[in-house]
Amino acid sequence: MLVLALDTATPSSTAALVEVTPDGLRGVAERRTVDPRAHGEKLAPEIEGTLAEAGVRPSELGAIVAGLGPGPFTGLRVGLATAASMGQALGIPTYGVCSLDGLGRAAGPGRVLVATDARRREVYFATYLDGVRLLGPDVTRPADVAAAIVRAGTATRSRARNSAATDAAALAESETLEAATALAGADAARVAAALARAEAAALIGQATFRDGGVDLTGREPVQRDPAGLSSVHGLVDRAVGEGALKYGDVFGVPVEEHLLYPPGAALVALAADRIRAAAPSEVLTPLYLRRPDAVEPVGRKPVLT
Amino acid sequence: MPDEPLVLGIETSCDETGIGIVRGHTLLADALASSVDQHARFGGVVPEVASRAHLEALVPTMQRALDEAKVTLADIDAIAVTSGPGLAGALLVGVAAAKGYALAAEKPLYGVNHLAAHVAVDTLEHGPLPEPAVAMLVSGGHSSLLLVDDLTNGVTPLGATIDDAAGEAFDKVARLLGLGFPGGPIIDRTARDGDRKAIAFPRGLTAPKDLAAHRFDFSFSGLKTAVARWVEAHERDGEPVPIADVSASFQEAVCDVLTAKAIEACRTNGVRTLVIGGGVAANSRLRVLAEERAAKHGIEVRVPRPQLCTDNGAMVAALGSRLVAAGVAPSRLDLPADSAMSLTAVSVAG
Ligand SMILES: [Zn+2]
Repeated sequence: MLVLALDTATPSSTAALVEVTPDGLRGVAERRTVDPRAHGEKLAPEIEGTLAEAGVRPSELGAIVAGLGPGPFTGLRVGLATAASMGQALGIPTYGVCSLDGLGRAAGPGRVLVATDARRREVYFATYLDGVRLLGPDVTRPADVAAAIVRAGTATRSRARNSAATDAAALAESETLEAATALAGADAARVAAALARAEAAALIGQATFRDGGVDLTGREPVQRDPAGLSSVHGLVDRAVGEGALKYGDVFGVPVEEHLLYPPGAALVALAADRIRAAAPSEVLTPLYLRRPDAVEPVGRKPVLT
Repeated sequence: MPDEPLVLGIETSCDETGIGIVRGHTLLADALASSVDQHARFGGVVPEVASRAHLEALVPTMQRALDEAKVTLADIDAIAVTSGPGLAGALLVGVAAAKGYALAAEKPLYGVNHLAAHVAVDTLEHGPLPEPAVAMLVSGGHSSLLLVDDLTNGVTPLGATIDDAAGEAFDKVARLLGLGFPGGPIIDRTARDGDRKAIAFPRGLTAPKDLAAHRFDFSFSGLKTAVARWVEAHERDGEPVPIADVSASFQEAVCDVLTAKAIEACRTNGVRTLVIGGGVAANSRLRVLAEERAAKHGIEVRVPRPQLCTDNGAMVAALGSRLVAAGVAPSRLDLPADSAMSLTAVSVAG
């Protein structure tokens, strides 16, 4: 089945065509324009170009996958309005995936920080272990990401302490697992294993945290770099996303510059189970994470001033 | 006529998500979702709240319109969308959706001017528009006088507000009087029990010295301030504020200036048709005063029914239908949303 993937959660207006077969994925075509202010103008031509490049008519599409963000709202809505309207016009299902998961999935094995530019000197971020999300998505200042990862380790730790059962079977019943499975589109056993590793890591981390170092995966307790409190060195191995590049000095880990924007094929991979199962179409609601800035007026506002 | 083009219109320039479907001059569907209730507590339209609401409302509103017209997207001949002027983020949602529909259904796309669409909607109610005509568009977002030579090609701005829009003045005065939001319908209702001659509020840009530079322009900021001063002076003296009289006198000041300048614009340009559109066109006093004054000069006043005066999808479809009939070239897929779109273009050329 031919699946169209769209993402506008970063400065990239991405359109990709991916063929989903019963046992695999094949990337057919992918186009992008990188311009943070041009999603409204560039996305539709990129879709048209992608289809034309592959010699595919819109009516041949079987499903649409859209990155739900998080990302700057204005551009994000362009992608979702386009995906929803195309899905409606073609009478085909639309599926939403977390845009950061696209980058996390594409980053492959290991401990990875995904960070994209949230403007206002903040980043949208999430952490991944072997492509499965452990923390986030959330939005904060780059300098506060390390603390957020450490805090998450603390939370996991206390959950583990209060729980009599920390094996995968118990985790399979947890809401965390359900949510993680749904969002990652991965199979439950794999997520459970990842979460179990995280739990174990957190337990190990209890000891190391006192020394200023926490390791989410429990591979090796590490000393946090005392000079750079904002560094995520020791918490993750590397970072991807244009936010990671922009704030590379703050994070202090290697940035993979070939993975700055969510690749279309990774987005489709995240929804592959739903596509193959012909799951019901989903309403594409952006992952906003921030509330509108508007403030309610207090009392009667004097007109004279 | 069944072989007239079937045109779909999408409107998201402010707080209304509108989808309209017309065949020629015939309105087949006009579906609307409004986020007005979500803005009420803020006392005005909040752009980010409006944009979020548009995205949520688009697909269901489209479905209602298609069901109402008993057609499918495959039956549509062209898709028109408001590409400006309006709130940038709100416009962008409608434009992106219109492109998605056009791309998927492989139909031509027309980016159209919101103000011209306000004029075009009248053709659904009263048939082809005699040209040239003068159009007065008054709402919370605009207060404009336009000379319409050719609805599909040439619309000339004659004047506009230099500060607040007329509808904005209604909102601000309603808030001042503690009457709620939106202010237009509330003031109209409250004014019915008041004396419109009770208080002589100022008529902006009507003094001879102002007319030289601003003959067909409007100003409502001074009026709003005058009302505020009057009310605050009364409150300071401990006197009860006669809400009905203030409402009626304020409304009279607005309608007096609007109609006087609109009739003057018709006479100056030798035009015998005046079209009034926008949310404030629903104001009962504005309609009466315009009819009275126009009749004296043999000018016909055309005001669409209130649902067609406020922002809606039908008006965009109506203009799209005229553009298709006139053989105007469609827009391209890189059509921008233009929050400050000028009237030099009724539609965005391909
Ligand atoms: Zn309007």
